[in-house]
Amino acid sequence: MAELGKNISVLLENATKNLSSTVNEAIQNKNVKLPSGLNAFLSNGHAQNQELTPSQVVEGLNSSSDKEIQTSLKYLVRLMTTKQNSDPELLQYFPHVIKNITSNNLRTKRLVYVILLRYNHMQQDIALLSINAIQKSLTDKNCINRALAIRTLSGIRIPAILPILILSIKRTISDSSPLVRSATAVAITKCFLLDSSFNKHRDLASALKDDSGIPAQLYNFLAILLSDTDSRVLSSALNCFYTIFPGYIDLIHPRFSHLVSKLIELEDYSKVILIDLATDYARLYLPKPAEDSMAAELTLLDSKLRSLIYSPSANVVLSLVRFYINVLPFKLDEIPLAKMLAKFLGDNEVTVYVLNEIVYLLDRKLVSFSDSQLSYYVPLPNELFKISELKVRILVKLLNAQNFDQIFAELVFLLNTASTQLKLAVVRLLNQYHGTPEQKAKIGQLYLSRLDSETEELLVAEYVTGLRIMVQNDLFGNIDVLLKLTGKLVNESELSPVARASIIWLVGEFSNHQYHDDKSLALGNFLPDLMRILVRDFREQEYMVKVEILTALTKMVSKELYASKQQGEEYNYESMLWKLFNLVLQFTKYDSSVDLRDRSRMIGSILPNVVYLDEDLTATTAIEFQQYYGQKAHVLERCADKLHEVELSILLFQTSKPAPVSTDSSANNNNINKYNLVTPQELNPELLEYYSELRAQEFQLKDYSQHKSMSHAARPPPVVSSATTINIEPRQSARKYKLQTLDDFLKEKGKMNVFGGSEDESGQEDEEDEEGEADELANDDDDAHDSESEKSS
Amino acid sequence: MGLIDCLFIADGRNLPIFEHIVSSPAPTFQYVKDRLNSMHKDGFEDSGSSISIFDHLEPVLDIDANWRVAWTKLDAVYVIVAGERFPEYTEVVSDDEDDEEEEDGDDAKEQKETVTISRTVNDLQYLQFLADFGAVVKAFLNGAVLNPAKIELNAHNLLLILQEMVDASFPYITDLNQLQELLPSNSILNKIISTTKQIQGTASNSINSLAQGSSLLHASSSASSLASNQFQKGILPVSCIYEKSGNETPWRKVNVKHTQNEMLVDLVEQISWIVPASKSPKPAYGASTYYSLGLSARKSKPVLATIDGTVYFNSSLSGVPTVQLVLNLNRHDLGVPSFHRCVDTGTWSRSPGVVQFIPPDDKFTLMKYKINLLETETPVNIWNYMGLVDVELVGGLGIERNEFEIKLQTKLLNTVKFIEDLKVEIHVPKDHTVRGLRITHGDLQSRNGVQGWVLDKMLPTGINCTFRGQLLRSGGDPSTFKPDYVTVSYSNKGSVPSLIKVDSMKIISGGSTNVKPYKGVKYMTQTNNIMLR
Repeated sequence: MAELGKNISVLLENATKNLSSTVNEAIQNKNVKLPSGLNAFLSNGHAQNQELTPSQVVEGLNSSSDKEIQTSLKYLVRLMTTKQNSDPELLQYFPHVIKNITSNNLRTKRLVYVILLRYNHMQQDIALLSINAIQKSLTDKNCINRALAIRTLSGIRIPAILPILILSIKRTISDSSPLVRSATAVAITKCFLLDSSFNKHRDLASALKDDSGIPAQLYNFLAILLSDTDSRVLSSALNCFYTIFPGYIDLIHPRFSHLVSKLIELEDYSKVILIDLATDYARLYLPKPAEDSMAAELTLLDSKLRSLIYSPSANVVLSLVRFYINVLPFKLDEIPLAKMLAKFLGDNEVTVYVLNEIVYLLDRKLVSFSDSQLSYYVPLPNELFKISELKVRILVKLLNAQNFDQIFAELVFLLNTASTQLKLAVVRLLNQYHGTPEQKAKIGQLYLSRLDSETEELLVAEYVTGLRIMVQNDLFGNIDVLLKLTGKLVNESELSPVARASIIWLVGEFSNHQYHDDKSLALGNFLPDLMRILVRDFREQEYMVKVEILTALTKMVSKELYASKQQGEEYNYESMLWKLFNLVLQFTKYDSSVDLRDRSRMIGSILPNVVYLDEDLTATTAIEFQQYYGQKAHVLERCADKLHEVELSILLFQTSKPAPVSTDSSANNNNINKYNLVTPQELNPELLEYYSELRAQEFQLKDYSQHKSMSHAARPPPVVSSATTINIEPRQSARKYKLQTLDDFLKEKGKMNVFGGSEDESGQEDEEDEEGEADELANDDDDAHDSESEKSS
Repeated sequence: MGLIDCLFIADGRNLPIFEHIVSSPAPTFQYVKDRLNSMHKDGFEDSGSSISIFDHLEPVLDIDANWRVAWTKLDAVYVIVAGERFPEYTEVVSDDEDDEEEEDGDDAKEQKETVTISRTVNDLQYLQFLADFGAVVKAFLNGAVLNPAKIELNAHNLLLILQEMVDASFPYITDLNQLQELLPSNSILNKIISTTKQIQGTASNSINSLAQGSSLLHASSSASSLASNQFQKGILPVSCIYEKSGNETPWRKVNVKHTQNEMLVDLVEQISWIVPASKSPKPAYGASTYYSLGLSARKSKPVLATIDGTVYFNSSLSGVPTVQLVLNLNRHDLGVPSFHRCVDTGTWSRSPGVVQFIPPDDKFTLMKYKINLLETETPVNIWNYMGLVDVELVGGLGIERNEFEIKLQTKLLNTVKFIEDLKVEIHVPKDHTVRGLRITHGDLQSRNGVQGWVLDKMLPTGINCTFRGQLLRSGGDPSTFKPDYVTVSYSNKGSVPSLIKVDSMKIISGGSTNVKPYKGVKYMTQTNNIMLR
């Protein structure tokens, strides 16, 4: 729309240029807005959306007007892509559609191809009728037509076309247009997959030994394309290599430097493939680099990658980082990692991956940020949760003595204003942080202040968990925290059940310890009173609080019992804890919760008590202990019997709980970590010389822009000899192997003629025959010139 | 097998509206959806509000042992691709190593072990493709907002785009300029555009020839109109980017001819900053700051202050011109900018600020950069670079100390006349509402549960505005809280916050040298995230 406005305004501008400058002023705002009605008319003005009857479709397809054919085709294509289960309906038109494959209109042709590709295997006989027309397009004057034809031909899933397909690839592989050669790489992939789908269980390595077999031919074709100088062709060839011959590194050895030298010009997707491949390649086949000595190939790669830091594509940049951390870690300092990654931070999906990468690098201490760079990781309102969470994760990882206050303030702000989900994440991540005691104290202070006002149960649980971890890790260092917590237990009735239960559990744990200092002694002495206060409104408490009260009391009582037993004294059956313990057992024995009753019964059977040992006791019996003992001395005896087993209770309730270890499981298993892994093997130094030799091999560089083939080698330009062999095996032992190739090749040639195939046999030869090679070169040149002159005429 | 075996488009209710199979076998949409649904349940319970299955899922994920799915949201629809996963490692197969062993004897044989190379796919490859696809589709549909009806209407266009963008399960041609050449669009709109272009061309020619007495441009204009005519008839252009090898600028069409000779630069910057609450406003008890309109000079250090800049370049230039754009960076550190592939990065790293490139035809994104103002080494006042609107939030005012004040100041700059769409959103604690007490400009509006102070659409620069208000609890009583934070959004034309300027823009080689191109630069400021606590 803007363009239309622009045209009109430019028109006016020009028209009035010499006449009046005021009009110019008026239309300077080039975003001329059109009325919405006109807008709608312009964008869907045609009757594109109409439903057609079957007879109309057929009529349209058989019409002589391009427009009518296209209307029918568009209708069918829309049916095919947007309606479920439209296949049967479409198949009935298939013959009529195929009829239009000879159309001269590119648009019609494209639409026919699309339908052909979708349904060819369902109506093979009819699909095969189209082959001839597609083959004709392979010699079309226009490169777009030729490229489309070879891609379409290779997409037909009928194995009978394989020989024709191979022939066609042989023709297009030396086409003068890079688009067609690039399409040939695509065709090779598809041809290979078609062939493999009918030979599911074959072993590719042995299949390649048969030089007349389809895989071997495709292998050689790919070798030619990988020697091309055009970046478009190389991009597609690398994709092809990656998809079908990934482990066949022999294709890469001689061309490694060539490919690397073209890295910058490749398509982004192929850049990633090449960089990833080069990363493994460098580890497996190049001498281990050191700061003062690097293989020439690596120096080249390094210099090429330096300019890719400006790439707008995050996939390329991540691939680049992967290369440096795995191959040239000592050069990482020279890459502006922090800034390079930070530029991709925004609010889209890519950001998630970049942040994950930063987490990965931080975990391995490969990247560092200055305090002023921390601002990249400040979570923003309206941001995806995933992004905010990762940012908090990074901030917590970056916490240190200098920036603690800065980051802490940020986290506090989040706890004030963020969503519950993010608040939870903040507390969980903060709980994993191991800081200095002062920092911990600050965090503890924060948590304590939050406990009162927070209503969200999960969040309270996380706060208490954080405090628990603190207290558990260093009980006597954090005794103040515990004191404050117990204070809350007594003074605040609004404390949420989760918080209450957790604190009581913590108190129970505390009671298991020996007290050293004044504060803990004081707290220890206060415990029976505390429990008395808690039991006071036991019946009003939530289930989880009841459980924790019972457990804490059990711990305390068993400690008392055990202490008296060890000192050989008789236990004071009048102690406050004993009374409370029995009272709670009595309460819980008749609780409505099955689980609580069960726990109560278990504890009652382990520890001495009157509730379970005296069958006469009912739910409503109020025990007046002194009086009670007078009446039922036998119960006391049974209690004394039970006392022998108190060790079991000690074992059950006083086992030291391991201090919680913060486990960060999510970080270790994400895709970024997997992606950053490279080959586990390394270069076998004994084979280095051999690999260098492989790399020094010559291959025929295909440079179509200058209409001649030239040899590419590190050495001075050699005589034709092996330089023109595409086969990359220089070894003498391969000679025998090659003779077979020649035989097979001749056989193959005979076959070709039956099919009326081309005389152009470029690039497939392996023979040592120099004349043959020379001829072929000439052929190549002619071919290129031919198509050239055709175009210019 | 590969990255992309099929592509689906689904609407907001998870119903398929478009499907394209790149290579079979491919999973059906129903299967993908079922798998995603089950993963959704595993992962996150609290889906509640959203209907789409995608909202809480990772952007790229493995749905089972074979298939990897990536998705993105594009306007009102979801685009999903699925591809068969590669094994993570592949064994290296090499015939030559066998030969080696035969010659070197047992030594090598003992050494031999299986060597593997990794084949893990970079997840961002998928996202990059989805982003490219989205950009291309939008460009072909003239920037329309995508919705299910649009997708169905343009199904054939999408299919033709996909035919070129992906083949053999791999992205094929994804560059917009190349696609536009391979797939000449023939919508009625383009017809109008090319027709007006022709009329305009002829008209300007006759005007030019009248004015200058020259008919130099005549030939070229008829050539271009001929070419555009052919496009519509489905006849291929005579020359194509890929006709010959050795094209070093595959992003630029061959033989570009224009009668309008111009290059335009749009410099757009988005500012973000977060400023913590002013340390101590401490106004005299009861006294109002209402009449002291100036903002306090003392400001807390921002927590965040970044500028995201984008340079768009739009040109209609004939031939293959090399353009040099010199930016006055105003001593800013642009970090590591992203450049379009046409830019010569060597020039930039030698002399930052100089961008040298052979532009694609028409509009494209030349570069993107990010400035972190907190990182500047020179002790400059960063407030000079934080945009034209200054904001201050003061709490604890009034006799009851339960009022707050937001003060805005629009700075004067002679290139900027108006601040557009200035709006302050007031985010308050739970169960609180804002009551406006005194408002000098604009009014208090409520939208989607967020209350905001909305000012005039076009606010003149150089004025002060004040908002005095208080928070009310749900019952209606005033509360002593002050807002959690306020966010500010606006835009303005005529300046960018970093004050980066285009110093010069010229064609240093190539192109038609006899006519001087028309040059234009537009500066624009937008806000991303301005927040006061």
